[in-house]
Amino acid sequence: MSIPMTLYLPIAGNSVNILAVLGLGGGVGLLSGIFGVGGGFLMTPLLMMMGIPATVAAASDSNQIVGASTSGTLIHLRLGNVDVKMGVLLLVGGVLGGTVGVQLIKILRAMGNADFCIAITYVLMLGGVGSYMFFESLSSMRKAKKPAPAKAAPAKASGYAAFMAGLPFQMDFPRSGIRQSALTPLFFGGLVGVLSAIMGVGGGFIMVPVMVYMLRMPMHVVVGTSLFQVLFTCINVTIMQAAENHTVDFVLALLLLIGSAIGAQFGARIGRKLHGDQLKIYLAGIVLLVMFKMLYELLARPSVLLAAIGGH
Amino acid sequence: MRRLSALALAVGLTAALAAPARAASLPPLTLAPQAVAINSLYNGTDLTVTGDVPAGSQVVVRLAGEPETFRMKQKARVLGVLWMNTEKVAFAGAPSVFLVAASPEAPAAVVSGLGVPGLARTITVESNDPDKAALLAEFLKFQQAEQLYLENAGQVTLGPDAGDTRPFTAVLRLPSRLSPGAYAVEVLALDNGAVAARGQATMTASFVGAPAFLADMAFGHGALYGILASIIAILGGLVIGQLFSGSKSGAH
Repeated sequence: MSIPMTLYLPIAGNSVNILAVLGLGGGVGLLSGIFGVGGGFLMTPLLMMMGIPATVAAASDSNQIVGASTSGTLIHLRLGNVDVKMGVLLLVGGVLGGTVGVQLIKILRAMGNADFCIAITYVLMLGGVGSYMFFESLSSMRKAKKPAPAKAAPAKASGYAAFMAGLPFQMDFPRSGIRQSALTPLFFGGLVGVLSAIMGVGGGFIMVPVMVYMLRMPMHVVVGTSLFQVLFTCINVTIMQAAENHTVDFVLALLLLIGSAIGAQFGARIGRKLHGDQLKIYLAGIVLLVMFKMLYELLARPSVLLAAIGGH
Repeated sequence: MRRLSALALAVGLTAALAAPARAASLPPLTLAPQAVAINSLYNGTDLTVTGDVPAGSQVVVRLAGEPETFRMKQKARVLGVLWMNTEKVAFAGAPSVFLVAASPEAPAAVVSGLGVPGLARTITVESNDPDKAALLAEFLKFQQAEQLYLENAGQVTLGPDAGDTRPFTAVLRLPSRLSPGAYAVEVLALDNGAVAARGQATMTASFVGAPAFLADMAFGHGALYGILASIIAILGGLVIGQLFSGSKSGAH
């Protein structure tokens, strides 16, 4: 008797190849462990290619990210790479921002422009974040190769740094080795919350650059803290989607989880061996690839001029 | 109730045929399986339809799911550059699944009229767009791309004439994307390109085992299902994390 290679998913209403789902989960989990992103922006389109309805793909993906980011957060906690204080502040901002984002989507849907706004937001965000990270990492890698010339005078603090230092509620974040106003992570967490609600993703790929460039956190702490934040965001999304839309396919999520949790373990170890700039440039490459794929879909004539509502 | 709606669907479909209204009835059809059990290992299955048709006939076999309203969005160019989902459009009275198979010598033009293109006569388009025929063509293309509407969905084998009748065996390949419900199976006997006789039967599909339990949980107790799914995902992540931490070296 041969071992069955397919499994029927009752919520998705289709059967899938078990090895294909495990492999997909493993690949995305690897990225999650290396870069501290949930991977929703990659997993959902790939699941749709396998014949899973878009709404089920997105919701079930959130469910598997819960497991993958638990595994990743655990190992980063052990390695001392999670700034819990910063993560909680970002999370509070994220939940508030997410609530605003959900309301914003309702308004956009009523206006009939939601899909257009979502796609444009995706392309602009991914393009902006990816390009900035790519060129910034490239220039700092070049600087590292050249010996820095001796400076005659200490550099003047940037206007941004001066503004941040002037904000109230300043506090120390010993794990990150920085001093910030509590308002800063709340504001940026809120901003990412709004964007991730509009785009329907965990938001790790936006949160990572925000932590690096806006909050000035060291890269090794950024990855662990991002996973910590993504974990709680996706628990919230999973429960909301299951209760309101009935789109969480637990069997699919479990298969993805087995693959992704194992992938995340390897990813966290690979991430430790890579230089911060290398990490950033690889992530930038992935983000830009996804952006170009989405841009192509917006510009190329579709083979069928209809879309199922809820899909994209 | 489901049986009645499936029969109503079959009647509705046959009413749309370009065929004599008073086609004769065929002897009862035999379906195997009569009821499809969608369990964890379901990955599509073969439905065998057997029966007798008048001697010399060609045969077309059709399977149709219950009629539904598909709500979709049109894709159109926005600002002359971007292809986006724009106007809402609904297709009412469209079967959830539609499969067609014909005997090798059945006239292609007749089979086409009885197949997917023929559905255009039974589906109503609700849209502000005046070009409803184009929308309907796109819808049929969409359903075929989704593997839900299929022509050549199986094989029909005819036996030799035995007096006034000849036996036939049709094997339809049911898709993996099969929803629970009733499905109308219809056999059309063609004589010189016209429908001379028709027969109907009903097949049912239902969840059993784990899919039945999960579907009941997901649709009947959504919030609890979501909480359990999150808890199990966290535990799964922790277990795998522990397994790795037990075997790893060098982490600190």
